[in-house]
Amino acid sequence: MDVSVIVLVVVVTALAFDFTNGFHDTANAMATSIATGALKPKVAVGMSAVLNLAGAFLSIEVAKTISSGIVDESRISPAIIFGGLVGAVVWNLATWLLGLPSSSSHALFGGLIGATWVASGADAVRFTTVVEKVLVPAVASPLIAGVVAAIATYFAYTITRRAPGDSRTRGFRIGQIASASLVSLAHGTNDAQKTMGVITLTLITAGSLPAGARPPLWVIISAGSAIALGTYLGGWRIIRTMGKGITDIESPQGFSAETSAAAVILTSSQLGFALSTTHVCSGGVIGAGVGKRLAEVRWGVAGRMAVAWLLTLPAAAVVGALAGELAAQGTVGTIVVALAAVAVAAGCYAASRRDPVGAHNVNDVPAHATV
Amino acid sequence: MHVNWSALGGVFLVALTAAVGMVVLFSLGIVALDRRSSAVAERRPAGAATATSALCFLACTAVIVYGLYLVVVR
Repeated sequence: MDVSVIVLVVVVTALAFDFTNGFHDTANAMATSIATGALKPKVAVGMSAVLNLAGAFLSIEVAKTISSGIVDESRISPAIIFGGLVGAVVWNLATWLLGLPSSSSHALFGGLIGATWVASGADAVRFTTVVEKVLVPAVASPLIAGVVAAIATYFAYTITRRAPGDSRTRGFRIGQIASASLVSLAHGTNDAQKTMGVITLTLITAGSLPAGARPPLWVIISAGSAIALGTYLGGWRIIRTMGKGITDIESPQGFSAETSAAAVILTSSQLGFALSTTHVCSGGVIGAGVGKRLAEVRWGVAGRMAVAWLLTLPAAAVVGALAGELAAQGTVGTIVVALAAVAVAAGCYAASRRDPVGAHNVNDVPAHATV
Repeated sequence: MHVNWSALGGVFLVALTAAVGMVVLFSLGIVALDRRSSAVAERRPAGAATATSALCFLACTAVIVYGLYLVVVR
């Protein structure tokens, strides 16, 4: 098939993925600030969007691999990348509809694994790398962030127990703004850069860019804008789950959770052990619930989240495999997959309108969380 | 398979120290700020409380600036 058509489709799909990525991950940085009233909902998502955009321009090092070595990249084609992206977008939309935070990078990895497996055989997938880079961090991230946040929360309450409630609440709210901003900025430098890597490497494979080229300015601008726009529209359903569903968060807990998340994310990228932002931030919120005496953690919600994390990779892989296989059939197949993806997106949007969650009701406790 | 357990342990220890240190400093700052306002209200000398809270928040700012530095320069 005509190379330029599939390349164009991949670029558009990559930007759509970047959009859902921002949409999904607003909650990571801002859910607890919105829940405690440190920031008004619209202000929070606006701030997060600006910081994500800034992060996209700040990132010096752009991802040099699409899959971080999870699949053999000499054996993937634009059709496989397209299939992988479709798998990731569909899974991101489905989990958004259910209000569940899940890792966008795991969704992308899953989609790529599925598409590669079907197109190039199981031996093109490096399963030991999957365990090392996906499974171990998925278990370790929430545990580390949870323990750190629990200890930090305990100290926050113990030290300030004599201070009057309102000055304590006000103080920690101000602190939350700083720690949430840091999480947003770190997210922008990490995640926008991932999409830039995917687009740039696709352009290199297609021969539109020389090998080892840096991303062109239009790629940086469009990837940064896509993630910022997604962040600004805000995945309110996920924000509600993280801010109100897991535990009724107070500002000392919010500050502890966000500070712990920022510390874990920054040290993990410094020490070269990549952890998922989503898992770290969710773990931080759970830890902040555990660390306050007599605080109620709704383990049912946490359990549903854990199930979604386990399913992310295989579910995105199945969709990615189907999409990649169809797209490899030629232009018609690619168009069919693209139309199907648009239909799924429209369906998810329509379903979300039956129980809309937005800035106006983001701080209401979701009905299913109380059961 | 190669899981870098020592890096993982390092992440845990460094993050624990940084986050708990930050939260403790900020909490002490809030307590000192509160002592300061009650001292001012009761017309007692508030110099020590003012200095403590300023010191705590300054240290917190320094930690955040270092965090920003890590994000930008990485």
